[in-house]
Amino acid sequence: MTTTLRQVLSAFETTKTPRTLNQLARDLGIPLNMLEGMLDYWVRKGKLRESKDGVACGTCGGVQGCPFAPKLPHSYELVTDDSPPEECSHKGCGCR
Amino acid sequence: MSNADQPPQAMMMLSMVSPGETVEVIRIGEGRRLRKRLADLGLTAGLQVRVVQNCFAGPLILAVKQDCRLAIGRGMAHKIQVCPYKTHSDKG
Amino acid sequence: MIDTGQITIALAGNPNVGKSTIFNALTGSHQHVGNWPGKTVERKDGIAHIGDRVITVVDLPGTYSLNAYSSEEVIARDFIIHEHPQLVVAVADEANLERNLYLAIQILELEVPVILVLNMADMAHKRGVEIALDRLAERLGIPVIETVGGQSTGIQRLQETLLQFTDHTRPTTPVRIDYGPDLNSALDTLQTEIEKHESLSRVYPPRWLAIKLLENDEDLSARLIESGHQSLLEHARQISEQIADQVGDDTETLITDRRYSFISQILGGVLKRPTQTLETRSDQADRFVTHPIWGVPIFLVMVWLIFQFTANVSAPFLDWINGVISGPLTRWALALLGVVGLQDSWVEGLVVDGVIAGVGGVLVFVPVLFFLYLAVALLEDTGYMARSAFVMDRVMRMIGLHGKSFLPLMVGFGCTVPAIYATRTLEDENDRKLTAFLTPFMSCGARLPVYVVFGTAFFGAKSGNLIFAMYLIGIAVALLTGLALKRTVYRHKSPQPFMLELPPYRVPNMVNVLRQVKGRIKDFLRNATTIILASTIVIWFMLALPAGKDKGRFNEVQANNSIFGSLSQGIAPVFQPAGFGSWESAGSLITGFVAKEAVVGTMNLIYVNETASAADGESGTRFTEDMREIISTFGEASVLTVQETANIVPRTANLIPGVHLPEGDWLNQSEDTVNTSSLETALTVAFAHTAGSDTRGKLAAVAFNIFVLLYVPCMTTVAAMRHEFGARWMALQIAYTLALSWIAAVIVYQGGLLLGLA
Repeated sequence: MTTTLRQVLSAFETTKTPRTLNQLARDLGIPLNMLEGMLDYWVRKGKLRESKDGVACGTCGGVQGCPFAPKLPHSYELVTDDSPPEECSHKGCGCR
Repeated sequence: MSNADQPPQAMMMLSMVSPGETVEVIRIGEGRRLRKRLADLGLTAGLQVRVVQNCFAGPLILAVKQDCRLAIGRGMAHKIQVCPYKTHSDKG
Repeated sequence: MIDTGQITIALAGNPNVGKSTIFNALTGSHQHVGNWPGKTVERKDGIAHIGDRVITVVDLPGTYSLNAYSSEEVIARDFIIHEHPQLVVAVADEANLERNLYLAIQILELEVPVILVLNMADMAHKRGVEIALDRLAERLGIPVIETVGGQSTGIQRLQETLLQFTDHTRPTTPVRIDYGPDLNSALDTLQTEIEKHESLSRVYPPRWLAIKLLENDEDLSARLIESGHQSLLEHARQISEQIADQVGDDTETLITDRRYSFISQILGGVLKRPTQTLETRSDQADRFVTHPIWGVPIFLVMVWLIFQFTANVSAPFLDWINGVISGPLTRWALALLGVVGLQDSWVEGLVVDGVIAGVGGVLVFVPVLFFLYLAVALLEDTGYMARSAFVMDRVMRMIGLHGKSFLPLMVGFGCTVPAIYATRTLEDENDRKLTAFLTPFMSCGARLPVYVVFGTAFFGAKSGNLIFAMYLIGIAVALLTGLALKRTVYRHKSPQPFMLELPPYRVPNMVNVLRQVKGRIKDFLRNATTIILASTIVIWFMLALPAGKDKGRFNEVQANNSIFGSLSQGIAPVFQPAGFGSWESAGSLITGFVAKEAVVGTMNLIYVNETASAADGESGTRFTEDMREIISTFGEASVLTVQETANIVPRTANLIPGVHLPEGDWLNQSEDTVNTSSLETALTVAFAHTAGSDTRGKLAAVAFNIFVLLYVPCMTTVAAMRHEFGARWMALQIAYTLALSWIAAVIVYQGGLLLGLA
């Protein structure tokens, strides 16, 4: 018996493409906000990260300025060995 | 599925549904890309959608999630097969 | 617990659940804000007077769990463990209860009395979320209260429940999480062992500590090592590994997962989310706003309003800045130059005629852009912008694009550069290229000054017609170009499906809107103080330097004998067929490539030779007078702006035949604000001279404006095109716009002559 948490992770391992939350919540039959919590768990464990491509062009009017950037839902992707290490954005977590 | 023993439901194109009606998406027409892009916006087979705007021409507006509406072109709506949505009597 | 009379309770909850409104409602103004010792995390304490009780309320940092992943989490749980609040109020967002309960049940595990508050209940109900409160309270074994922010009904019930707790009149039997047989027995074993260590069980609830040990809590492990409990840790590690071997998953993941399934169990039959979306007011509005018939007129009214908003409402401030720059600012600069002994030198010419006239001429348009960006940001934030794409879908289909392409084109009315980047919202590469190709034809804000100057010079009171015609011609050219490309280059392109998310309508968030506007204006100012500053300096020098030794001396040369003059003279014949083949107009068109604002700037340099007439020697004494003038004219401009905003109503109503509403004229200025400047007078004379007669000059002026509308977009736009689509597409765009604009200008001029218009 695999846990739901594990299913969340393997959903990423099988497709390897970034997935939107809505899609995944529907597939797994869990409420969206609970899924967010679960993804947070894997992000903290370093297995997933939020993917940033295509979120905003950031060229006009400063970084958050662009009103025309598609309001994409958050999406996540698997952290693989060859993906570049990222700075931890967690405020004050003290990790290096 | 519980739907299996029911008589075959009247399938129709999403573009024919009048505003205010809720339907269930049965099939999204050919094209893996199309299906994927619709899925990204939250529209997949098996989902209930309510038609907000649909007139003789122009795109449609669908309610897929409670707080977001989705506009799709008429051409695409032709390719989406739906059937009238029956409210299930089971309550959690 | 010993009741010392001093009662402390804590507020815990996820971030953004409205915890602080509950805190404020409980404590009123009796608050103290500080920091948690040794941390940068804010600590808020307050005093609540409930009945005859005085209760200290501590607002714990917002966290998603108590797992010591962040310092906030450590603070929250340390407070509960070490400072023994009598009660923890767990505040949860009712609409996202599943995730919020994850924290609440962890607090329960700390064996402290808990009240669960479901906040933002109104939002949840609006979304159709229903919760059986009694059943939830029964299953969790704790009181559950619904609140809506600081509204009194919920808060009152919370206060009553708080009293019952502090009076110990309300016994609770909190639920214990079932972690499943494997984990439960492991937890039992660890718990008994922990209970043997009196130093630990005195501080930590033993069951909780056991759970944390299986969760590999780093913070606690470190503390246990410090206090010499390695053997306990080692034992926990062994048990943990054993389970991991058996189940195939580490205990931390298992525990997290079981907590979630426990939440699902608890909420089964308690929480109901709607299977069908509810009809909202937004939907009702959309029936009308996006209607195939009504949608178009509504859209046109919106565009008209934006046009009014940007062109008229901003005009008083435009005049004000213009007055400040050409009056007081120029005088001050002259005075300052006089102080350092540079009056009447070439430096004075550079500063006053070059920098102030050039850059100032561009800064003048900040109000126009402010109102334009404000209008665009408002449309976006209210949710209408996305609808305009929807309404325009049918029109865009004619040229092989779809509604979404319309958004960048709308932005193009403001500035072409962000419009090109806005094409990134289109999924299809061909759509992007085609849309970007069309954006320069949407007449941008920087071209507006040219129309304004020419409109007033040649058409006087009817200048508005020229301006509006330019916008319409731009749109027509874009549509025709799109049509042509669809028939040729994109012959085989299949129509792309149209998909767009429509956000719900809402009252705009002014903080967001103004932040956007500020960012854009900043960009514009950066542009003005770098590129435009540099180009005006270059042009000034090119105008001041003679083309040859025999042509004159530096700064004393006739403009047509300068380097700039002779360069422009070389190009001028090209424009002969279009009626404006003078070196002056050719020269300003060249500088228009740097930035369209520069066309008017250069014309100011060339046509108006005399230095700002206001400049007289004794400007130093006029400082206070100047300041008074600046302030009083600013006040006037503010009044006029309000007036113009109000005038939008009659002006719009007057479009309907037969309606004649008077427009407000609060300062009795009646169209006096349009002052025919020396530039405008010079222009009429010069164009008539070049073309041969007054009416021919008028025709040439129209041709010139069409050329300005259609020719190569500014340098920044070209760079953006290259950046986004590569050098080839950029070159194609330059070639196309150059050819098109020349042909169009010639057709207008020669066609006009043939038709006997002149």
